[in-house]
Amino acid sequence: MSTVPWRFMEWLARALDLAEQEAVLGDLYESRSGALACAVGLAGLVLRRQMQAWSDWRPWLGLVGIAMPVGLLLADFALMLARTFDLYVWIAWNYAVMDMQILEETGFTLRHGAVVIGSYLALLLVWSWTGGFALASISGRALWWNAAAVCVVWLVHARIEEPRIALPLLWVCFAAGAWQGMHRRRLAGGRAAALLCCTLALTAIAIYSAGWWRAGNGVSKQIAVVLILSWPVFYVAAAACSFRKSALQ
Amino acid sequence: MLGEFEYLLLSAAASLGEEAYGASIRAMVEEATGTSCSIGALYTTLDRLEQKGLLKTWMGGATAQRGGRAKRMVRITPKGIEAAAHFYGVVRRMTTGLAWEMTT
Repeated sequence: MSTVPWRFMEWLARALDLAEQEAVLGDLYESRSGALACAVGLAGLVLRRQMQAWSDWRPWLGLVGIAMPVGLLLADFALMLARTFDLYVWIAWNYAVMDMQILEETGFTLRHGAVVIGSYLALLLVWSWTGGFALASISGRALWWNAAAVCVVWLVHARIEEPRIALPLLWVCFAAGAWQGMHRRRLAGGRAAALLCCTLALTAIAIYSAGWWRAGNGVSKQIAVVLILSWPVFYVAAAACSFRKSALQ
Repeated sequence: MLGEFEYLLLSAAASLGEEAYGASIRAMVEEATGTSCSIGALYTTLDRLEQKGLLKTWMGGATAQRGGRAKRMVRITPKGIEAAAHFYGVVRRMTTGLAWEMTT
């Protein structure tokens, strides 16, 4: 088989477990069948494995619990961050001609802007990394479908709202988290605890420095949003604890 | 009771003995049935048989003939031999006295 179809086969086989990749690619190599027959056979196996993965409840939890709601809320949050950033860029740009008194009274000072944008950005990065990690950890082999669902949510969101710089940042962090989650599945206890503390601290800073990102929202709604967005980090911490317990037994 | 494809795989694994692995089982099934055996069906059925305790599989060594890739070796277990023998017995009993005639 020539190099290009074989490379495609190797790429396709990456959806399989490592040991199965090795055995299946070896079998295909040994069979000396045509590239098309090999590709169809391999695609069939990958499809069967994906179908098997969905017979478990965890990928469904990943889809319903992270990919859809957290994906949507993160995209919304990214947009709010971008709008806040735009506002402060505009203030900075017109700083020389603005009335300082009005800025002080409304609270839109550059120092305040730096704190708000910094805390939002840090929180967005932590939330998206954790979301990616938890999604990969829960979904297992079905990760690609759930990652595709997140991408669809974000693309639809970006079509409705203007795409901003925060969205690519979100993608990169989410993908980095998913990559880590795919290879590790569970964080060590210390790291999970640090991640939990960091997320909760950043959430508190974001809430108290900016009065949350939406004016007019009730406290209960804010808490609900925080809980939804933060649940992956609690999952990561719980998974680390259960891993520690099983290792000690 | 076993399915027919499961029975074919168990029979191939038993016949091939120490040389039973994915590609050799597939080749034997294709030769015996005259139809192609998809790699997807082969590997998912091997998994199912292993879960039932009818087969044992492990990763073997890599060979140049396979592009340096390892084999998934297969061995039939005593429980697998019993299940295959039961299936064969049922087929034999069911077909005793029958004379199939090819109409084509």
